[in-house]
Amino acid sequence: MTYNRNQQGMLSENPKDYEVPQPPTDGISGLSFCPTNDYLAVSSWDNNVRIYETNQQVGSAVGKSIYAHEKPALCVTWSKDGLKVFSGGADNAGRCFDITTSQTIQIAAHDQPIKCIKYVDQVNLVATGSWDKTIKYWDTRSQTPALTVNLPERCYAMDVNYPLLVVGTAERQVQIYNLNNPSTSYKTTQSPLKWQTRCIACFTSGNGYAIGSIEGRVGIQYIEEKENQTSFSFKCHREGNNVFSVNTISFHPIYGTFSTAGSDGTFNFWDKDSKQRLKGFNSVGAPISATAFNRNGTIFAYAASYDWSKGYLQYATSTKNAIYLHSVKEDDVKPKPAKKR
Amino acid sequence: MGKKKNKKVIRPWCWYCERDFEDEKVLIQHQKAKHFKCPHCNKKLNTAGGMVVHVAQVHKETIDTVPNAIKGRESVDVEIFGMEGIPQQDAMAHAQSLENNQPSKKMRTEETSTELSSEEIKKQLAQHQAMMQNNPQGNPTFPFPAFPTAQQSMPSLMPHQYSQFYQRPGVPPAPTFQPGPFRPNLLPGQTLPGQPWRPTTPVGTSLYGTAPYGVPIPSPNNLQSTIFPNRPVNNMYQQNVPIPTTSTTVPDSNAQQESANNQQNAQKSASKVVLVYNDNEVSMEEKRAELEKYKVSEEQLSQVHAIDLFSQSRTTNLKGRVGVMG
Repeated sequence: MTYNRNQQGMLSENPKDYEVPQPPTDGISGLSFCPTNDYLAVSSWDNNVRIYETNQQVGSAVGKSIYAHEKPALCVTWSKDGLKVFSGGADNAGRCFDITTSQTIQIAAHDQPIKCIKYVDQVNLVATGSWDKTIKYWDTRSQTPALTVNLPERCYAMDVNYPLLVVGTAERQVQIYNLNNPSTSYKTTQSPLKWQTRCIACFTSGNGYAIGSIEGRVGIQYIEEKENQTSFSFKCHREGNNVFSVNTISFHPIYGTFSTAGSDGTFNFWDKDSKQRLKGFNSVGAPISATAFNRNGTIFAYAASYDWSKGYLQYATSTKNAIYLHSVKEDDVKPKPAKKR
Repeated sequence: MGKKKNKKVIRPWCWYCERDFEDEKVLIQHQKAKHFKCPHCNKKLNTAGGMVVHVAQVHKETIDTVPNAIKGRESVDVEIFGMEGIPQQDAMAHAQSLENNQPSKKMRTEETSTELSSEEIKKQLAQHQAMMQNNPQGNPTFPFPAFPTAQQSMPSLMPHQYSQFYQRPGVPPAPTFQPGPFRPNLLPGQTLPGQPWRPTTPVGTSLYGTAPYGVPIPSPNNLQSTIFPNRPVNNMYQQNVPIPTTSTTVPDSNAQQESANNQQNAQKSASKVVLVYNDNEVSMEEKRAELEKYKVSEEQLSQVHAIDLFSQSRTTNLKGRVGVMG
């Protein structure tokens, strides 16, 4: 058995996916699958980071561990060996949770909340991006950062695919780093999109990145100049005249296709190379604030919870905080040959 | 000219919009892009029927007209794919119009001279009217194919002037029909054929503008479609359909209205787009973090501890469950 969904044979389906029990009690800020097994780490505005064990064969998920920040947890990731969870929070702290010992230690400190956290296994460092306009690289055994890099603006989005690290900041700045030389940016550019950067995800091939903005648009950007002319952007997550934010982009680890999810509560699978939408899903009834593929791309986890896109007023009425597990159909994420145009 | 005279090769043409193409491949591409494209998701289907099924299944809506088709050919029931499926009478009409209407290169150039001064328009109208009076039966060998074409192209560009002068009663009929008056129509700075047209007329490339149109036209209203400004009036004569001079004004005002409506719609849809989250300076999370609830005070710190305790108990609770599961 897998995570059930109804079959309609439509281009857009109403997702009926497995809902993870005991979800966070406030907005879900981040989802991350363990690289070695199907553990799912979830950071939430209720300060906690939860770890669930998912089992696709049985079609279930169960809570395993929980630890807390002093303020909302904003991001979460795993170490490559799958034994440690790293999270950053509004308490300006980066924390490390050891799965085997259930011990939590603080590994990073910033002057402002940590919005993004990534683990760079090749150099065994944790990278944290913060609203204090820095990225810091941390050796988990040390109190002081191994390296501090200044950003032009507040860090909003960050992704790494060694040696590529891409940071999106406020004011639509994009900094591209080659981690062989992380102290200076390899390239400093403006976002190809006209509105605030919301999310960034590196291609699995490592030669570019996808960037999403609050104006329902995704840019596909290649790093090198010679490929740069093939960069393009497309509109998505729009309904009538309403334009929703693209909250999160996740690349499929095997096929290199990717998902986008937005404040409109829908998610889509795309193939950037053939410039096609592979699959669309109807709204889940609440904004999708975070998504993640598991290590082999068979499970797609998405969090339906309020993302603040309509401000405080909406917050009072939206109580939904749910994590859904979607069994990925291979046909939905497999690249398709480009259509004749 | 001589070598072309006997050449009766009919270029592939689109039944929906009477445009012709270099080869059928291009025609099929055109049909997919212009006529078989789903208005909801821009998916290109192969046939009108395919589009109907797609729209019905995917968007749960019905579509009963083929987009960008000229009037009388909007039916989704006619199965057209490239040149296949074209009703025989239409194919014959098309061939006939080609025969009667081989434009010279010069004429093609002139055809694009679309910006006419009102005086010139008047002149042309006069000619047109005179011609109408002189040839009420129509004249299959009408010698100036480009003349009505240029005239026809006016409504879309200058609908106002056109209708104004057309309604004027006492226009003196011009004595002769000569392509001559067209020369001065080439305004200074006018661009090459086709180019000024492309943005406004998605279908009719003026390069082929006069050649392919040979449709029997059911009613004068058809002439006024703003989308197909290049459609020549002279087909009317070939089909022996005399145009009542007065009726021309009616559809013309329609066209005017139509284009005005189009403009309005365009403006509406352009201005109405609303960003659900529109603060370009500050992110949602930064705003949210400002909320009192998420700011740590002494009091809340103790709450955090309470949560810690709570979560610890929950952790053990969860662990117990895992044990059961295992």
